[in-house]
Amino acid sequence: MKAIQVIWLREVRAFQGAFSCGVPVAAFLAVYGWTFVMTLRNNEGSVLQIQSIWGLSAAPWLPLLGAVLTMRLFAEERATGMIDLLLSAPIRERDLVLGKFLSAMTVIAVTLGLSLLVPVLLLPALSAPLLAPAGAAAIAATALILLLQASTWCAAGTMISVLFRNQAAAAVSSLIVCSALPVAVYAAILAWLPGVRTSVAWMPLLVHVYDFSTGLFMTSVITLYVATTLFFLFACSKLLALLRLRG
Amino acid sequence: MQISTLLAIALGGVLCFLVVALAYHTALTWEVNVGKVTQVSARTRDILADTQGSIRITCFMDRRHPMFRPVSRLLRGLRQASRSVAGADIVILYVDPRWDLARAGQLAALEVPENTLLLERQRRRLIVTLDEMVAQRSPLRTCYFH
Repeated sequence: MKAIQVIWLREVRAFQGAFSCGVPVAAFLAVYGWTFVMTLRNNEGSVLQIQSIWGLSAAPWLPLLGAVLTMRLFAEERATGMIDLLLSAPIRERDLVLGKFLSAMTVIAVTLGLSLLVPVLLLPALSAPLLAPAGAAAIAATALILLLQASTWCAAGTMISVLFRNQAAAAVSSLIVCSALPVAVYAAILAWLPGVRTSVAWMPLLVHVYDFSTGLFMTSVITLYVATTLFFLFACSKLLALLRLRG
Repeated sequence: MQISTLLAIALGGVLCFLVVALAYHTALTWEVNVGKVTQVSARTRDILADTQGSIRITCFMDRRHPMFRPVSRLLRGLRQASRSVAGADIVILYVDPRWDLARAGQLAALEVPENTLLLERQRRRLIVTLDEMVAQRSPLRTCYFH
């Protein structure tokens, strides 16, 4: 069995029983549900499609879920001393990082799948005369952009987790980088940069979700998320190699 | 932290930035028909292909308006369609009456009401209201037309 697969399985099993996994997933589904209902109500009479509402309700909370899920990946290993054992094993840093990253992505994919139950099954069943079920292509396009965004948040969280022994510190740092920073930049543009403000429709991360959910695909956006994910994973493996060298 | 590690991460960051910058510079975009959202029609594409020069579209709407997101998406779709047929260069400006008081004042002086699109090409101006843009109003079912 390949090293990545072994680490992925180990981490997924650890996630299954972890308090730090069940609670964030439940909290994510709760806040997502609340946002979904509020977005649905606020856009009554609008032309927003159901898959867009799903995407726009889930996207703002993904950085939080990513930060909490990834905080323990390496910080816990460092706190318990398991990192020495892991790094002394004949496993490449790249495999270690990818295995842990993919395990967090698996949990996020399952969570997004659960969040899809309401717009795809429950809502059309309850309001069939009003609402046609969303098409598979529309759902797939929205899921693609949500997973791309989640991969960036998870990769950043995984990298930050290497830097800390304390899980809470790793989570807070991830939240600042993935959630607070983009919002702060957008708020700063609105407040102080009128030249840029007139060319920005609204929060770019949400614009990406809306564009993909309505069939407007941009290679630039895909490249942005893929490149940043690869960069964070690369930086993570380099930091891990540094830890291995230090002994 | 070792200098070589820091250098590797910095170079990785630079490479990442350059790749993203190149992707934004080439700006490859394509529109696929998903759900009930319609694409730009063939007739509109023909009109855009025949139109040259620059068209400035000012979206004079509150960003909190329920129709703001669909309208901004419609404009982006139109810009993409124009690029794909090498038509007019569509420049989109968003004027929020809450944030851009000076620009909103200028538009009001031009008798442009709120929640409208102002299309400008050279000296020609066209005002399109929200009601003219939306085909039908019903919760989550309507589609916009171009």
